[in-house]
Amino acid sequence: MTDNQIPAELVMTGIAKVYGTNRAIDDISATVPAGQVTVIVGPSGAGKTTLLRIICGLDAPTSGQVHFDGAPIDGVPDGLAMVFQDYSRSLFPWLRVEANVGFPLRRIDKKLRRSRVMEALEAVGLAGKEHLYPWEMSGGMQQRVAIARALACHPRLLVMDEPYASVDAQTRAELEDLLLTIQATMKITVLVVTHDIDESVYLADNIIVLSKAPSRVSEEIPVRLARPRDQITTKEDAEFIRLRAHVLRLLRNIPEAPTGAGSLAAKVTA
Amino acid sequence: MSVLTRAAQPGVSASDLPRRSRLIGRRVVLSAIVPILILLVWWLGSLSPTKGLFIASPLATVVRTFQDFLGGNASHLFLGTVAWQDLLPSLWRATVGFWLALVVGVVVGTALGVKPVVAALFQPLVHLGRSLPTPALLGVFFLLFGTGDWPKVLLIAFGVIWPILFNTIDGVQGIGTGRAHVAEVFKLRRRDVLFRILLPGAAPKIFAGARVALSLSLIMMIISELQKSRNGLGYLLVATQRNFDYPGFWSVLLVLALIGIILNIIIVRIERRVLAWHQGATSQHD
Amino acid sequence: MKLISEPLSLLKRIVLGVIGTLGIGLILEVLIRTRVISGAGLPLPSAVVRQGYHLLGNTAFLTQVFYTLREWMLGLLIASVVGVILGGLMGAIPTVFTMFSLPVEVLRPLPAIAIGPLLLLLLGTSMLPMSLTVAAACVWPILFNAMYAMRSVDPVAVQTAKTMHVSPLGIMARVRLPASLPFMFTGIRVSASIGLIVAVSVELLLGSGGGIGGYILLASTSASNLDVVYAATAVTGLLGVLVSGLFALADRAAFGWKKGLAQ
Repeated sequence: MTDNQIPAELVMTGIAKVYGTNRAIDDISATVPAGQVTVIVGPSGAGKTTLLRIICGLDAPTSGQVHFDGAPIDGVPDGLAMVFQDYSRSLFPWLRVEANVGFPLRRIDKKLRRSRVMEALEAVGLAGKEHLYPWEMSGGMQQRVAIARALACHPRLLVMDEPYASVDAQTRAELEDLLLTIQATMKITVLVVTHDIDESVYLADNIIVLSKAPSRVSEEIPVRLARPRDQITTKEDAEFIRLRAHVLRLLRNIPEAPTGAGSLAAKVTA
Repeated sequence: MSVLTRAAQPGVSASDLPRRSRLIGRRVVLSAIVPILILLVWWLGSLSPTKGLFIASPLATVVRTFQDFLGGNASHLFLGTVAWQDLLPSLWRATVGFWLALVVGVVVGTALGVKPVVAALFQPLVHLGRSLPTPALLGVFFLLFGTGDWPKVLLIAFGVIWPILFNTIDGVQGIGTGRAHVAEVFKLRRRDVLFRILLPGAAPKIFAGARVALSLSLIMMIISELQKSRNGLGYLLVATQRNFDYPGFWSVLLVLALIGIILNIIIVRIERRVLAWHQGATSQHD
Repeated sequence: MKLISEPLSLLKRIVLGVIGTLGIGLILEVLIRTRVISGAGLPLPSAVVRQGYHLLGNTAFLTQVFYTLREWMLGLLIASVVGVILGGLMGAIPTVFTMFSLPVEVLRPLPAIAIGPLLLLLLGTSMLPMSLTVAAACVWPILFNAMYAMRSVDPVAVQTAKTMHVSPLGIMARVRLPASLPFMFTGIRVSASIGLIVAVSVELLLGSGGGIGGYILLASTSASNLDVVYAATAVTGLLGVLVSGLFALADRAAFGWKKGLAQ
């Protein structure tokens, strides 16, 4: 919770996780560069959530190591904030929105805390809603509260686990744009886990594609789409469409099509 | 550093066996501490110069329990005189009272539960009944139903019927609309609706009510034997005290606890068998 | 056979409840007065109501009512403190659960009322042994609710707090405890109605003359006073209904947020 917000860098080296005889993660090495949006995408059951728990220090890897700004992590690193998929379970129903967002800031002076809560609510477009209970709000608004709570900590790394999997498509698009705006203005490192390919390409500066369990890194893909991105123009960009197909092939284990007219035929025969 | 050295999740391998037996040993020791402390306090209490008079030592209590309740020969099924004179009549009355309440409670509760208007007519009285201190009616029941076992059995039944009645109404009214639609779409016969949908659907609630009723029936059993009684565990509680026979008094307490434990084991077994489907259906939501 | 019917409105249910209660009273009154059912000691509803009305203006009776209420509240308070602390710890800490599960299983089925006389012997004639008996009956629902509630606190909520650097003690106080409070209160609600019945029962059993139970005991020595017995019993029952109503209101006021807990 430092106030000088220098974005953090995260490095995973040789992460493996074994449950009994079940090898969930085989060997993952990857870097989440500072100040960028990195998206981890993988087929269901690829151990994405397990990997996130390890990155957040909630769980220890069987072998391997995670470095947060050059220091090996042991427990939850300082400057990391997490947004869970299930907002209805991660927000506290007995607290109003203001107290929910202020929950992690207990050690801070009351006045400063309130101003940081208001600032975070403003950033997610929820100014004036601080007196509601989370369960009085729509799913999309609840997830905004969860994001505001993470932002109120002034994190240097924002980790999100399938953050938009439980909201409808319209809200999802709004929240994706909200995240990109926040990232651009606050210059924080963002790590998102998702199974949605469009979302991964739309949000990312880098995509880390995982294989099926026991998972490894299939490929690290840099995304060079222009920013600021737009739900319509970015998504009709030829590069967007190419990347999207590329990620899908990786996930489905389909070999890369030769460029040009043969691509459709190759897809069908495969 | 410590992340690297931390051990993997415990799996199933031979090297874990000593670790596991150590864990079991630890559990046994841990679960013995509090019971031993309780026995120690009990024993020390019995030695106390002031209160010790009223407190029979654990050993004396157990010995007395064996003498009174298990001292008989083969012709008496190895049960002691007190078991024949007091324990069995008490249990008999409690059992009859409980089953009477269960049958009447479930039948009436189902009848009320199916018809919301009728349920609403009786609702205040059911609420009142649930809150009545039935033991207060002990004297009245003797007057109404004469002497002998009947007033006692009826008092027990009247005292324990309310949780069964209340929960049956609740359970029958709580049958999901989904299941109700099934009954209507398939045009089931009345009998099938009753035995295949209503009662099984309400069974978890009825069981919850029956459990409360069962523990209440032990209390009512004791209360019902306080007046105009010549036998029974409740009578013994009073009589042993009146005769300053404290080992006898403590042995009755011990027997009551044992009955409670045995009843609890029985009902858990029955519940597990009858409600197996229910646990399967609800565990997914937990 | 029709199983689905429109749920009745609150107003309709109240009107039907009043009609039902008055109707049953009236039928009973007619049956007894016309001697269709007869026998000594039958309660004539009109006489019971009249007697109940007198009792409410009778200071001697009201004194005993307040005595019972104090005894019951003290017992409920003791049971709540013990049940919430021990049950909460058993739910939160596996070691504590292992230590106390055997004694709890053995002591729970013991009919609380049976230890009343013992407590009276040890502590002397006063309110305390009776309140402790009430507590012995009331502690179990509270303890078990507290235990299950603490054990089943949503792991996502706990993890959320962990990622915010909240200490284990802080998680206990700021996440697990508030998340369990509604269920602990449900336990206290259940115990409250049991407690009032046990309070009157133990007064009857110990017969030291205190409380509604003592009043009833005194009244039932003479057969002519039966209406007083019925009326006092009914008044206690009404008191119990009132108490559970108040607890339901308190529940809604304090724990309305519980619908926000994920099922």
